[in-house]
Amino acid sequence: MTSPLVEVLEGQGALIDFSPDELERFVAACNHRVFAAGEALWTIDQKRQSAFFLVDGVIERRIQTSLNQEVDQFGLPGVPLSLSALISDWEYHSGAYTLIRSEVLELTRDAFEALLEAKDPVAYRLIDLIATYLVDDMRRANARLQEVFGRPAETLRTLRRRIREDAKA
Amino acid sequence: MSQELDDMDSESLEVNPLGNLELFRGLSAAEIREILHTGERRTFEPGEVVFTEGQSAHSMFVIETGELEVKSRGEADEPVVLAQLGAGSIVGEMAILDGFSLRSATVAAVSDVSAFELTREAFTALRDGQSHAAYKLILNLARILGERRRRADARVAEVFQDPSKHIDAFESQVHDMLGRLKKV
Repeated sequence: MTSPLVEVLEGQGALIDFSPDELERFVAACNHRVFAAGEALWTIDQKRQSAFFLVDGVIERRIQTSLNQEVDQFGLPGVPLSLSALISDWEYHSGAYTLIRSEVLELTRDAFEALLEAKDPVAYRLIDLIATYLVDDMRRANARLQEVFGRPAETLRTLRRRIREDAKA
Repeated sequence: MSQELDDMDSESLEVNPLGNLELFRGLSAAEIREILHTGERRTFEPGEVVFTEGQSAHSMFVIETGELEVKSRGEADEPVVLAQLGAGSIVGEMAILDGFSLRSATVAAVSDVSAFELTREAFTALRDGQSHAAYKLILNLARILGERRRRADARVAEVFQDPSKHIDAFESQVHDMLGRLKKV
């Protein structure tokens, strides 16, 4: 019998390529967690050891960079968050908070590594997702580098402005 | 590459310079051999271009010996050297992870270079066959990419954490750029 969580997630978002059997094993490897509105999935600078997959609700993620704060909201089932935590506990200067009561599946790095050790195709599907999201992440980091070092005149203006602002403060 | 690897036993593969790379961390000798069999060794002479900025990207290179230079077009369209890469470095890795992408920089040999080239087509065939080695390699690539992302963000953060420390360098760059534009 298909579990209710599998029914919700089948064919959804980043999990679209998972077969029903794979989804069953994926759900079994995860912890089902419910967060009240305004609760944090993780906070800024916190080292993370889990990825999250939205089942129901709305989550806002804020990434603080030197240039700005990127704010994204996610409300569709199957959306993955914090995938990089499955391979390392890099600090991302980000936080994620529920805007309404939300249900997520939490996959710990240990559980992911156990799937990989067992050569479970679910691990391969997750690695495909990690690759896609990390490439995107790297592109955005390259764009930030290009914005700062590739346009020295603009960066010079920004630095002068910040020095003036710091002096005023 | 394949014949050379056929002649290698597990022990000799462990001392092969490519076998010691972070890219192959956690892979057994047989798994490394499986990956290397799908690629080929390429050699480049000093000055020879490996790939050009804007070209469609379809393979990654692992430098076995020699040095490559990574260049991009700057604000005044002049070539800017972004990095010099030596033995053990990886270049163009996004090409085998991503469905379609363009080269973001030009890479050329500075000295005689021997490199291992892995095409997206060959690597995709491994992935499609659910090769455990291929997926372990992707995880290692993801670790390498993640670390590069962290360093890239740290470089940007450093500039803005202490603007007065970096303003001279940017003033000098802008001054040089204006000088070059005047010449044109």
